[in-house]
Amino acid sequence: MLNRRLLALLIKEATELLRNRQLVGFLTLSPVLSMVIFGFVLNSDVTHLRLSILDQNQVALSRELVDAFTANKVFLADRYTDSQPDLTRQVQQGQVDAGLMIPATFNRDLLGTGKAEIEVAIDGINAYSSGIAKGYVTQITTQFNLNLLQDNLPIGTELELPAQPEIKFRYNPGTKDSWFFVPGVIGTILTLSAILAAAVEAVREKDQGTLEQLLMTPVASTAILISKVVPISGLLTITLTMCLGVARLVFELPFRGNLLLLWIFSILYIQIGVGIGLAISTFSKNKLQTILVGIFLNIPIILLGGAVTSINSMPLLFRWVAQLNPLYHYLIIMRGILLKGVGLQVWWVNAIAMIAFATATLLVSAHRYRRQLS
Amino acid sequence: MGQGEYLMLQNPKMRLSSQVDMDASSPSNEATIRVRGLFKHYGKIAAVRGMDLDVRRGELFGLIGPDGAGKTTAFNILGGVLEATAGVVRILGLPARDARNLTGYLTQQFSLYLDLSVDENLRYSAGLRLVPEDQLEARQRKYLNLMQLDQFRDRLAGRLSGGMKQKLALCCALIAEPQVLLLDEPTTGVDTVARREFWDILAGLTAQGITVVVATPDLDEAERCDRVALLYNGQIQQIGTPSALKANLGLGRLVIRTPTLLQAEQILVKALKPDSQLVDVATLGDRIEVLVKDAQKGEVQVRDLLTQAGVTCDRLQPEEPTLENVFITLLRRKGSVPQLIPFPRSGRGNQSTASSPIQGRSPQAVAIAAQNLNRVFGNFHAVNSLNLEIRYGEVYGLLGANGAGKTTAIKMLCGLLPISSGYISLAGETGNLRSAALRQRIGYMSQKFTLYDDLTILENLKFYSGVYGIPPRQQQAKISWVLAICGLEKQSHLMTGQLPGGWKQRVSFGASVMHEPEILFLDEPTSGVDVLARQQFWQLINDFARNGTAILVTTHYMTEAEQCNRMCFMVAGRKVTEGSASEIKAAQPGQLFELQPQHLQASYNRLRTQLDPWRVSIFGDRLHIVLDHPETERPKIEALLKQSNLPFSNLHTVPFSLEDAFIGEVQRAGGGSP
Repeated sequence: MLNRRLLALLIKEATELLRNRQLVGFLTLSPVLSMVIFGFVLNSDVTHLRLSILDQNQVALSRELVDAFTANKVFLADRYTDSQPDLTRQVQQGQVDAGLMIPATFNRDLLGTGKAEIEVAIDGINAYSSGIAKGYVTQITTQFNLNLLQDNLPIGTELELPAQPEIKFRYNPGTKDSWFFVPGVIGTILTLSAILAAAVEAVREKDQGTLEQLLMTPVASTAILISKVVPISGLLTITLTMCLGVARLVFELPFRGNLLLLWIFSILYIQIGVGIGLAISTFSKNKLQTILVGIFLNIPIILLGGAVTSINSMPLLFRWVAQLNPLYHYLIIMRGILLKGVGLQVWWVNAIAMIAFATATLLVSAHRYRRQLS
Repeated sequence: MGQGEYLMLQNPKMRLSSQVDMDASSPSNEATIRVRGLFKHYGKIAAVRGMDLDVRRGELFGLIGPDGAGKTTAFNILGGVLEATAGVVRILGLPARDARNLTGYLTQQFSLYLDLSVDENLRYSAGLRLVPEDQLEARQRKYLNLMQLDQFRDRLAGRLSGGMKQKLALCCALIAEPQVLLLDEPTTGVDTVARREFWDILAGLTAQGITVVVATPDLDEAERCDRVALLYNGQIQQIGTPSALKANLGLGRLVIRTPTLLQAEQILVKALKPDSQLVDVATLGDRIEVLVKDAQKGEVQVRDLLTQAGVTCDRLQPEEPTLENVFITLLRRKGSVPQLIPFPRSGRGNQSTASSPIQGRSPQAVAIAAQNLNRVFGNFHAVNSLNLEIRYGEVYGLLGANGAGKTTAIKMLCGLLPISSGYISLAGETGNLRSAALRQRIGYMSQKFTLYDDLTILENLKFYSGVYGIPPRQQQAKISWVLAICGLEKQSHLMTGQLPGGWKQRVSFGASVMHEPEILFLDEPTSGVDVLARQQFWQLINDFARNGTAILVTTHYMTEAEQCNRMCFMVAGRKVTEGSASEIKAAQPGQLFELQPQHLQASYNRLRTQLDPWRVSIFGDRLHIVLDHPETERPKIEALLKQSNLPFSNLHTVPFSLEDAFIGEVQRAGGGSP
């Protein structure tokens, strides 16, 4: 008897969910699509900065310096100019990202006194890219200097640099940004979809006024709760699997660890999201309220989860707060499995945290949801 | 676009010129509304097919018909919202589209902005219709006074009661002082007391020369129109004054009261043959109504039939047929009255006790009992010391104005709402009213739509039969039955959201009784349902009652309430009267008088200065007056009208209708709606 009722409830919820084409699209296609877009767009490399060049010296040495700047992809010789005010104006108006000024005395000063000054003006509005650009400028000039010294030293004397660090990137040898961002985006999307979809689905019964009628039937409140959780979780699990597949194909994300474990913890994470969504629905009167609360809750979860940000560079307080964020722990597990191939022995603390979160949110939301039913 | 603006500039002038010849007493021969050969097709479906209609100035014209008859389409065309496929529509000599500024149109949905106040709604409507700023305040005061809304000017429209909302919507339509008012089912969801008030206002407006066309599903209301058109299948089938229509029916109505209703009905139904006098037999609560070809011969035949079978008959009384008789007889001739299809009961064989709940129960056992039931919300006493006792097999009506506490009472009785204090026994259960075992034995149909709009009809029915654990073997038969009573066998794959309201209500009813409940709660099951479907509803309700189900029902329609075995009136959370329809009517103090005044509105206004306003109401060209002490009051009333130079004729007593009784009881208990 109980099983037939639960079955009727599950069929009804699944039919309603699948019939809502927009929601199904929102839960399946748009996550994959946004993951691909984010994977390509979110990029910490700084390249193709437009550079304006004012070479007042116009000799071989000065041209060599210009070449040193533009030889890589970092700076792009966007335009040449012949006056200092022009250069300043171009940077000021944002026509270029940086200006390089080589004074007319560059060649003479350098060869005569061994010292010359050049000037680089960088548009500092984008603090991030200008910071990187500054680093590049230092690197480029250092290399230029070294080359210059080597070329001009008497033959036989070797220039020895005191220390030459050799940096080796483990786990992400090409330092592909997408490998860092894509798991983050998958986590973000799962959070967003699970919370919003569960909240909207759960509040719908209240919204359309069918809740009362449902309560007058002999179904148990637990059955209603299960019927609200299962179809959404199922759909989101499919979404997750699709996302991982596409990430593998498009971004060649390495699947180094135990995929089954990843899958289990992803489903656990979906339960946390659905639990939070259910809880939101019990606080709201209608769909609109639910969506607004859901969105406002999502923003801190995502920003404090380390999906696209670096937790370690946050102020201490926020680093502590991040520990209370299930997404933070999920991402550590996901990146650990996908990129490092490490297992439970490494991230068991995060695993325990996630199990605790899942239990807590589901218990709280089940309690609230059932209380609302009676 | 340009044309519209041009018209708006033109209209004030036109209104002036048409006001010049406005004189309430002179009968105008020119039809205000003239419709010729009107057709409207939606793709292949013809909603209106060849409609001819003339409505005179100052007429209160009723448009009645079943769901899907084309009423709303006709209104949309008259209102200039919809283009006709073919035909001519002239309002005050103008095409409907160009007459929009002379027309006030109230659509079926509330046309108010619920987040704006009463004043803001009015000002908005006035702005749209270019009401001159200097006249706005005066008109606003005038119409709000007329509707008795003047003390609520700052209240948000969303916080008004259903009746007040409709009055405000009417105000908004009136603010531009239109010549023609089009009202599409304005009183749906409005309670009895407010409805009568609304119709009095309409009568007052027509007295000022405004032409009113109104659609209503309630044929009691239609009796108050000057003329009525019966619309069916996109065509006007009959048109005339209510009394002419009733006279044209050519049938008499007999009301039979007997202690053995069921037996008497069976005998009479058997006699329904083409050569007999009997045309129709219907059991209505505590009595049987028979339509006969000839009142006298019919009476003789009925008496003979009953005496032969040894059925005693307390009273057999010939009465005037009602508009409902006219309407249903017409539709029966058209063959569109739904047939009663027997419900596939499972209880006969060797089923488990859970699926045959009612068998073997003593008919006198109490199904629902409440003692001193109270519910308090904050400092609002929603239900106050309610006592009820409803037996198996009984149909019990809970009647009251909006906000009287009916829904709160029902929710407490079925365990949805905790009680503040008191005692409830439901199907013998007194403690936990929420157990699954108890809910299996109860059916509930709430006021709002109880189906999932995004599931098909079939999916909805499968869902409800699933949650009620109906065995798969019976499931198919029951679902087929629901589809059959709704006439939806071939449309079961339709999305429920696409169904018209009346059909939805029928499917919901079916969904809530598939598990054969012992006790059935129906909270306004027929709101927004047409007469035909209502009649069918009541046949089904009676069928379930005869099979032992206890039924508690609330309704705003007093004609329906007549079908209950017993009923009570609730006012402000208290039960004020209880009994059968006949008992309640008989217990009314005083008498109801009808008279035909020459100057209807003036007489009405004059009488209301002397009597409580609720005691006087307009019925077509007649007035109804309730007098508690007729011996002393009647001469006073006659003297008053004579003094005021208001001649009248034909003053006589008429029997109280249940609506009269209800309004009287509510008003005496001080529970009239504001």
